[in-house]
Amino acid sequence: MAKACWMVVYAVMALAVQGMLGHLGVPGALVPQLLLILVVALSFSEANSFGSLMSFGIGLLLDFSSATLIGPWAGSCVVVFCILALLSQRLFIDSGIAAMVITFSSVVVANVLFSLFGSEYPALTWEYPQRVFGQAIVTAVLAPIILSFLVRRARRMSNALIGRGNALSAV
Amino acid sequence: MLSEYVALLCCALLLTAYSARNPAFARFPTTALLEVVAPLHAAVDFAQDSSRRIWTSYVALRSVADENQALRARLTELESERNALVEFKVENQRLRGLLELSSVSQLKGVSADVIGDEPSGWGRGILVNRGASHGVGIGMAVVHPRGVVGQVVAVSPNFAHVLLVTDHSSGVDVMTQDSRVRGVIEGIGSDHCELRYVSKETPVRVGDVVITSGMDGVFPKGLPVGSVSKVAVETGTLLQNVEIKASVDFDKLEEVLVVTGVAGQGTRVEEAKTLVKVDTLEKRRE
Repeated sequence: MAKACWMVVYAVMALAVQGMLGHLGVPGALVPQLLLILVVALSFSEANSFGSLMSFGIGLLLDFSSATLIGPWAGSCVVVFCILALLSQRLFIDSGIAAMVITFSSVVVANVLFSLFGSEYPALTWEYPQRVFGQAIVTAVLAPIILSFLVRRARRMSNALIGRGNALSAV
Repeated sequence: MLSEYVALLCCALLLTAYSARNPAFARFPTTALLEVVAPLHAAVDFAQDSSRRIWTSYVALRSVADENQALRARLTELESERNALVEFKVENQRLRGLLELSSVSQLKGVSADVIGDEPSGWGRGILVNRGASHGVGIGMAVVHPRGVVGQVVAVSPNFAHVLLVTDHSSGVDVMTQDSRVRGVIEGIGSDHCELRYVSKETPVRVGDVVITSGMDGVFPKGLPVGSVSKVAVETGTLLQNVEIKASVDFDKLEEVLVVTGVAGQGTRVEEAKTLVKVDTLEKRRE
C-alpha cells in the first residue's frame, strides 16, 4: 500500500513537472518523459502484478492529462513494462550507460506504440522522429540519476518489509 | 504472468475504443487530475510571473520619472482623442441603426491565464486557470487577439483543459477571407493545420487569410485562424492540399479568452428601440 502511495505521488509530481517544462518554453522535443522512467524503475524493482498494474495506472494518468483518448498511453506503458520485466533477469541497470540505453529504447518504443494505439497517423510528419528521439535523449540523460534513486528506494522499502516479516515470525 | 500483461493490454485497447466513441466517459478522473496538477502549475506560473515583475519593476525604477512625465503628456493627448472617438462611436451606432445594419458583434468571455501545457510533451493542449466556477464549459471556444486558439475539452471547478486547433482531432469550419472558399481545418502538428475538402477548381492562393465561418456552432464568425502557407494539387484527385499556418504563436501563449457568448447577437430589436429613443431625445433637445 505504501509503495502504491509513493508511486502515485511520484507519478503526479512527474506529470506536473512535464507540464510545467512545456509551459516554461522548453520545446516539445526536449520535454523528458519522466513517467516512463517510473515505468522502467517499476519493471526492474517490481516485476510482478503490482508493477504491471502500477504501469497501467501511470499510463492512464498520462491519458487523463491529455483529455482526448483514454487508453493509448496505458497500453504502451504496459507493453514497455512487460518487455522490460521479461528482460529484467538478464539486464542490469546499475550502470549509468545501461540505464540510459534502456530508457532511450523504452521512450522510443512507448511513443511509437502510443501513435499506433491512438491512431495518430496524421501526426506522423517529419517532426515526429525528431520529437521522439529528442524526448528519448533528454529522458535517457536524466534516467541514471532518477532511476538510481527510485530503485534504491524500492529496494530499501522491500528490505524493510522483509525485516518486519522476519521479526514477526521470530515473535 | 504473461496472461496478466495481455489482459491489461486488452483493457487499454478496449478503453481506447470506448473513449473514442464516448469522449465524456472519463470526465470525472480527468477533472480530478486537473484539480490536482493544475494548482502546481499555477504556483510555478505565479512564481515565474512574480520574479519577472520584480525584475522589470526594478529596471523600470531607473527611468521612471522621465517615463512618468512622457506618459502623462501622452495620456492627456489620448484622453482628448478618446473623447472624439466616443462621439464617433455614438454617431456610428445611430447611423448603423438607421441603415438597419447589425452592430459589430463583440465576444463575451472569461479571460484566463495559460498555466501549463499538456504533459505528454506533444504540446497540443494547454491548461488555463479558469473553470466551471467562472462560467467555463466544455465545448466553448478559446481565442486570442491574434486568432483562434482551440476548444475546451475538460473542465474542473477552477481549471480547464483546452485542445489546440493544431491537434489532429480538432476541426474548425472556416473560409478564406477574400474568395469565401469554405472548408474544415484539421491540425497536422506543430503550428500548421490542413484545410480539407477544398475542390481543385476553387481558387486558393498562398497568403490568403483564413477566418472562422461560424457554421460549426462553436467559433463565432470572422475570427482569424491563419493564412494559407502552401497549396498543392495532386493529379488524380478531386481535392487540393491546402496548408494553413496558424496566426497564433502557441509557444508564446500567455493569456486567452474563453468565449461564453457573443454580445449583440439576437438583440437587434432592442438595439433598434434604444436607437429610436436616443433619436427622439435628440430631436426633443433640438
